[in-house]
Amino acid sequence: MTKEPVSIEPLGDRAILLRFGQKPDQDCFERIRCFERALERTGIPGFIESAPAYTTLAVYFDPERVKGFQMEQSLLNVLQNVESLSDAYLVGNDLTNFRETAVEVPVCYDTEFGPDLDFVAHTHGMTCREVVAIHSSEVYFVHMIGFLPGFPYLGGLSDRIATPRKESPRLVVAAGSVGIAGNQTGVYPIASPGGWQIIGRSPMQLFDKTKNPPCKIRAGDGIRFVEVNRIEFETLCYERTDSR
Amino acid sequence: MTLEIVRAGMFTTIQDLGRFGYRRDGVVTSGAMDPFAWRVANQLVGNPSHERLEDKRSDDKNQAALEFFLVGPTVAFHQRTAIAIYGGDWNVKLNGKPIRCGRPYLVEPGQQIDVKEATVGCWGYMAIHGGVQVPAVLGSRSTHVRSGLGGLNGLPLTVGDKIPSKHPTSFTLGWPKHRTCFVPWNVNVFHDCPVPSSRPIRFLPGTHWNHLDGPSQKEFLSVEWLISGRSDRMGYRLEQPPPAQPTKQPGLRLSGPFEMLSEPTAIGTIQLPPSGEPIVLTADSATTGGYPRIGHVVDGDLSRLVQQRPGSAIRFQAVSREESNQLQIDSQKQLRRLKGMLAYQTRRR
Repeated sequence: MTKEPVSIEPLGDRAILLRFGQKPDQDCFERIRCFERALERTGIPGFIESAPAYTTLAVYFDPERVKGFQMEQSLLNVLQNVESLSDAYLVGNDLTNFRETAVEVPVCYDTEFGPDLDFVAHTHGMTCREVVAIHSSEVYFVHMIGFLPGFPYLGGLSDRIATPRKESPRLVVAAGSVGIAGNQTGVYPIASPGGWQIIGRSPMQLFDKTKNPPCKIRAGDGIRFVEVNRIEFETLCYERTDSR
Repeated sequence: MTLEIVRAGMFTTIQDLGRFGYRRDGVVTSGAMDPFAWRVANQLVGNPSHERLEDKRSDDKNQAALEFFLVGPTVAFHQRTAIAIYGGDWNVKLNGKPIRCGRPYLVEPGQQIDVKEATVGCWGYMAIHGGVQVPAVLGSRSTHVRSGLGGLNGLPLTVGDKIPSKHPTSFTLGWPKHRTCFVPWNVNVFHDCPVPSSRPIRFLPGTHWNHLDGPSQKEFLSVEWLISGRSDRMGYRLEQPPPAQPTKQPGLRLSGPFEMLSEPTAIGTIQLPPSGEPIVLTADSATTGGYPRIGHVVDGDLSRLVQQRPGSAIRFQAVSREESNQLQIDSQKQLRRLKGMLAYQTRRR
C-alpha cells in the first residue's frame, strides 16, 4: 500500500504542523500515533509537547532552545525512521480493537437534559426513543480532544440521526451535555457556550484537573453511550460528589 | 497570607508563563498575555524567569504574578515584600505617593499599592518577590476562567481575596534601610518594551493564505484594522472602519468554497471566520480550530500587538520565514540583554 507523503508546514514561530493525509481514517490515525511514540522516544531538545487532530499533528517547541528549521529537520529524521518500519510496527497495534475496549459513558436522555431531542427526532421523522436507540447502539471512535478541556471529537454517528448545529448557539450548555452537530457527536466536559443539538446529559466527570492525565477519554479510545434513567443518573452524580 | 485585594481592577488574574503538556487533552495554554512584560516584571523583583520552558513544570520555579487589563487593582500587603509593575505604563501609587513602572519597590506591612489606569498599553503585571503561592494545577498557576483552572479557585480576583506569597528572603531582608526603592533607574517603558508604535505588525502567511482571493490579500495588507472591543484573552478580533463605499461588503473573502477538519492552532494564529473579520488567537485560545489560518503573527511582535488597546488601529506586513526567524533571534537577544542588566543592577545595590 502506498502512503500519502507527509507534508510539513510552520504553525507560527513556535510550532510545526505535520499533515498525514486528507481523510480522517484509521490508517491516518495510526500513522500519527506511531510518529508521536517515536517522537517521545527520540527526546528532541526544546520539544515541549505534541497535539494530534483528525489528520494533523502539531509539534510545539521552545524557540529559545531550538530554532524552527532545526526542529523541522529533527522531525523529518524521526519521520523517515518511523515510516520505513511502520508497516511491521502496526501489526498487533492495540488500536484496531477500540470497539472491545470502549469506555462506557452513561447518558440520561430525559427531555429536561436533552432539550433538542424532540427537534432531532422531528427532523428525521422518528420518535425520541428511536433516536436514543440509534445513538446508544454505536461505538464511537475518539479522533481528537480539542475546543474545551476534555471535549472529544467522535466519529461514527449514524447518518440517520445526523442533524445540523443550532442556528443560534446557546449561551450556556451544562457540563456533561451530549450533543449532535452534523455527523459528529460529543460530550461537553465543562459548561460552555455551544451550538450543538443537546439530546442528553452524562453524570460522568470527563475532565478532572486533579488527575494526570486529566481526561478519562483520550484520542484513539472508543466510546459507547449507555442509557441510564433519572434515578440512576442522580445516583451516579451523588456517588461522584461523594467520592471526592 | 501577604496580599489582599482591596479593589479588583479589570480582569485581574494570576498568571505565569502557561500550562504546557496538556494541549492533547484540550487544555489551553493560558499564561501571561504579554510574556515579555511578565518576564521583565519578575526579573525586577529577583524572581528567576525561565530560560527553559520545560523546567517550568517543577513547582518552585513556577513563579506567578498578577495580570490586569486597562485598570489595575489596589492591593494591601500584610508582609514585607518587593514588587514591580511592568507592561505598558500605569498610574501607580504606593500609600498615596506616585511610583514608577519598571522599578523594584519595597512594600512594608500595612502599605497599599494602588494601580489606577494604564497610560500606555493595556496589559500590566505586578510581580511579587517569590511569586504568589496559589497551588499549581496541571503544572501551572495560570488562571483559565472558562475551565476553572489555576489561580484562586480558577476565578478572576475580587475584593477581599487573600493571596499567600513567600516569606521574606535575602532579597527583601537585605534591602537598604529607609529606602522603598534602591535603584535610580527604571526599565524604560517606551524603549525597552515593545509597546504600541506605528510600525506594522509582522506576520508569516499561513497555510490558507492562498485561499484568500486576490483583492482580499491586498486588502489585508493595506487596510488599517481596528481592534474590536469584543477582544479578550482568547483572541483579538479585528474590524474594519465603516466602509467608504457602503456597497462593499466588509471583510475578507475566500476565492472558493472552503471546508476543513479541525486542526491544531497556536498563539498568534490569524484565523478567518465566515464573517470575514480576522481573529488573532491569544493566550486563552482553544487548542484546535476549524477556520482557515491566513497567517501567524511573528513571536517578536505578539507583545506589541496585545498591548494595543481596543479601538486602536494596526497594519500588517508579511514577512518570510527567514525574516521571522531573525526577528525572533533579535527579540530573544533583547530580552537576554535586559535580563543580564537587571540581574547585575539588582545584585549591586
